Amino acid sequence: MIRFMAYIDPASGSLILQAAIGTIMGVSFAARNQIRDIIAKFRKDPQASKPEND
Amino acid sequence: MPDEHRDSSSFRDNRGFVYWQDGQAYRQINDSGQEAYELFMAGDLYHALVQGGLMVSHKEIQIPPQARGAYKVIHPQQIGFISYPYEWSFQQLKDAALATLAVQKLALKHDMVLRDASAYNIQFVEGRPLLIDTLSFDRYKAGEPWIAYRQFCQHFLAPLALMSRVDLGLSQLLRVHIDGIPLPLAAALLPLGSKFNLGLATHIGLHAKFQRQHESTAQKTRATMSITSLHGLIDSLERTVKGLDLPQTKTQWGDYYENTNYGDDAFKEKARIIKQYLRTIKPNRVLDLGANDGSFSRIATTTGAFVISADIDPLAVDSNYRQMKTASETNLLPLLIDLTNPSPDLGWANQERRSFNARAGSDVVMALALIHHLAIANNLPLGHVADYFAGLAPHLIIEFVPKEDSQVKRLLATREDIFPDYTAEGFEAAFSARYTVASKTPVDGSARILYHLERKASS
Repeated sequence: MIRFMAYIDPASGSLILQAAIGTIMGVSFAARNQIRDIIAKFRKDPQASKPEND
Repeated sequence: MPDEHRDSSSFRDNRGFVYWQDGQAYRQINDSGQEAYELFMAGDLYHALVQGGLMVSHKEIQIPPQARGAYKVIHPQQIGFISYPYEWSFQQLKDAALATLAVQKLALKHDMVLRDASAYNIQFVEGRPLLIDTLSFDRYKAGEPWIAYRQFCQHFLAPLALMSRVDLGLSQLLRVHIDGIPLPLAAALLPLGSKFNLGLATHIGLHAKFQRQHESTAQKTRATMSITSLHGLIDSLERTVKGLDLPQTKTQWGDYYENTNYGDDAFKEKARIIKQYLRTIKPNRVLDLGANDGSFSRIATTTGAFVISADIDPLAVDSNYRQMKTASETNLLPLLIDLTNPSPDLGWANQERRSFNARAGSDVVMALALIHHLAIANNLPLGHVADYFAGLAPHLIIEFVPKEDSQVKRLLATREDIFPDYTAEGFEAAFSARYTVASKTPVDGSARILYHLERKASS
């Protein structure tokens, strides 16, 4: 169990909602990041892939 | 630190507080804030935030001998003018919201977390929204939901959604609800269409329901979420905020300069005269009241002054702010102020958020194309206007707009003219109780007159 050391009231409903929706949002976030990475891989300009300080 | 110098808004957090000495703000960090502060500094989150343009910088100073329970005292970068979220335009509040989320994302990268998300912790410094609270961070504990989620939704998301989806004027609900707009209220006010916006439906609609359902939960909540879920939550909030835009409406004065009866030459002449007055005054701080989109505020900034550019029109203030951002201007602060009802003292003991009048003192007040709105549209006796301006600054640059002017004719078109003293002579007589005339210049190409007035010593 997490003990919250907040000086503001986090509100029980707000914490429970995050736990309830968090998984979906996390999965959606991770999926979008992966899709972005894949698109970036295909679009990658060979010049752009060089390190900036090259 | 003598307690009487403690900032009247700095009492919530047990880890420290802000106090004032010789006009400078300092922050005491109590022993209870030591661990979080050390992690914040040593883990380099502080430098990342300052370099990223997200937070004010600070210097540690020697602890004054009278400070009790102090682990450290810091002297932060000082802020030109403290403003409040109900004085910001839509885009200002939106940028403040996005800055808060950017801070939280950077904090998570450093294994820390933002433990509050108060809009009052953001201030516009040199044109940018910066976090000012050094004690807003804690170590991230695996599994912990975001403690400040409720506060973020109340302080930022709810007002932005209401401004975007219902009416821009609803930002003023923040004046009534000092800890942000209650989510059940926001949910009740939002139109049906908001239910089809996933972010708003979740973070406001569903959030309000969960709060109602669990408001009597007395025991500690066992809610947990993974770090990926937490990132997902922040990402969802960010996309929801970014998806909110200004409603497609026009306000009364939003297009004022396009419809004004000033010709190009008269406009340039007015600018030239104002610049000349300002060069004589050499102000550090200018208060431009009725600034519209800030055209003349910008002229004032060219003399090196910091300009508070206030107007009643939320679209004009928003346009002013966007111009400021585009041009990376650093010495201008657009603000939404209704002069006929300026921000009052609010909060605990009426001392937590200070009135506009208490903060607005400047070297010069500019009141251009404003007097007719106050005297005719708002029935204010000219003497009352002189008294108010004289309380704000020793110098006044004011434009008298006569009854022959089309803007005044428009105001009088639908009402009886009960203003026999509203003439240049009547204006000068009323203002002579408070001011002496330093300069008087008719604006060529218009019927208007510009004055530089100096406050009388007895005022």
